[in-house]
Amino acid sequence: MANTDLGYLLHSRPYRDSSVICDFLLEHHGRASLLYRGVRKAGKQGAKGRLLQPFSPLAVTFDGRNELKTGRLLEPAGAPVFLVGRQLYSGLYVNELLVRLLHKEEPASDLFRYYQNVITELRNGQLEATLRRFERILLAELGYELSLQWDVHGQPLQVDQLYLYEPDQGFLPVATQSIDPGLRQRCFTGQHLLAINRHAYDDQAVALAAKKLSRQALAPHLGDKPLRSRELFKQSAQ
Amino acid sequence: MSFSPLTQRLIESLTCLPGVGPKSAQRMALHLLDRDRVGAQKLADTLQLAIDKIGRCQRCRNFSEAPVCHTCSQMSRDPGLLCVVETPADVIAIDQSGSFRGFYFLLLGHLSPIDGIGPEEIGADLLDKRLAEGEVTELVIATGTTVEGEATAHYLSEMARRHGVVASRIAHGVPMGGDLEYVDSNTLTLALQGRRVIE
Repeated sequence: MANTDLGYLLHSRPYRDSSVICDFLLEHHGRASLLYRGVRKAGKQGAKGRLLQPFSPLAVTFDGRNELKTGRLLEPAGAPVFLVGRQLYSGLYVNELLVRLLHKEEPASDLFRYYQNVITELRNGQLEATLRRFERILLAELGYELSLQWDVHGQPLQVDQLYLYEPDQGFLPVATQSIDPGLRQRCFTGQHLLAINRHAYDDQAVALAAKKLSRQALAPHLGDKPLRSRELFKQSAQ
Repeated sequence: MSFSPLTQRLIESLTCLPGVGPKSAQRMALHLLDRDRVGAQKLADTLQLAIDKIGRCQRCRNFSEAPVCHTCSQMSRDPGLLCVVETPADVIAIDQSGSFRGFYFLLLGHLSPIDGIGPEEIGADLLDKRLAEGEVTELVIATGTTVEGEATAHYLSEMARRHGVVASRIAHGVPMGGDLEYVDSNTLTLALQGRRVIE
C-alpha cells in the first residue's frame, strides 16, 4: 500500500549506477529511508533526482514494509529554499544531528514542525538561538529533556551557585572553593542556566554557556564519532 | 554446469566495473577468452601498468603518471586563474568547452559532513598552500549545484578571501536551446536570482 507524506531530505547517497538511498524526515512517519531508482541520470529521466535536495519541502509517495522503502512519486511541495554560507553550515549540522540521533520510523510530528521553523529561521539569519532551541527540542524528543530549573537534589537552581552537568542525572551543585581549574571550565553558573532556560541568548556569555551545555548534553548520545559539520565552522571563526 | 575456477574469478573481477553485473561480466570474460586474446593481453598489461604508475598530480590532484600532470605543465595557461572542480570528468568537460584557459584543482568529491567528508578529505590544505603562493588572482569555483556543492563553494570562497584572492562561482541557469516550461522550479529560481541587466 502506498503512503503519501510531506518531508525533507536529510541526506542522500548514491546506490548502484543510477539509484539513490535517501534519508527523509517525514511529517507522519518520522525518519525513513527511501530508495529512489533510476534518478541519477542526465536529462528528463534525472529530473526527479535533481529535486532531491535538502531544505526544500517535498511531497513523497512510497511503499514497502522493510526498513528501506521504495520511493515512488516525488514532487516539490513549496518554493525551493536555498540556504547560503553559515546558514547552510547550520542546516547541515541540524541534518547531521537528526541522521545520527533520531530513531527510524518513530512518528515525530512535533519535531517535523519544528524542523520547518528551523529552516525558516536559518533563512532569516538567526543561527545560534535557532540551533540551541533545536538541540533542546531534539534532546526532549529523544527522551533526555534538560531540566533547567532544578538541581539533582530537587532544589531550585541558585543564581550564584556553580553547577556541574552530569548526563542522565542533571545539575550537581559544586563548592566554588574546592574546585580545580580544569573542572571549573566544565561548570555553569546558576545565572547562565536560568538564562538558557529562558532562551535569552543576547548575552554573549549566555550564548557561549548554552553552546557548551549543548555539547556536553549531546556528547553521550553521539559516542566517540565527532560531528563533522562542526569542522566547517572552524574556518569561519578564524 | 559451472566455469573453471579461474574463469569464475575473472567474471567476478569484472563485476567491479560500474554498470557491469554478473551477466555482462560473463559475456566480457567469454569474449576476451574466446575471441580476443590479443586484446585481453593488452588490457591486462595496460591495467597493470596503470595501477603501478598512475598517481595524483602534486599540483591539481588529477590522475597522472608524472609528479606534475600535463595540464599543470602547460605554459600557455593563465597562472592567475584557478578553477576548482569535483572530478577528473569535470576538468575534461570544462576544458572541452574551450572557454577556460587557466589551471585546475580537483577536490575529488565535495564536503559532506554526514558521509564523513570534511575539508581534509577534499584537499583543502593543498589548495590553501597553492593560494598562499600568491600566483592565483581568481578562484573559479565550479562545484556541483547540489547543497553539498554549495557548502563546498562557500568554504572555498572563505579560504580565498583569507588569501586576498577573488572567488567567483559559475552561473546556474537555463540550459541552451531549452524551453522554459521544461525547466524545473529550482533551476528557474536560481536563474531568476542570477539575472543580469542587458547592456
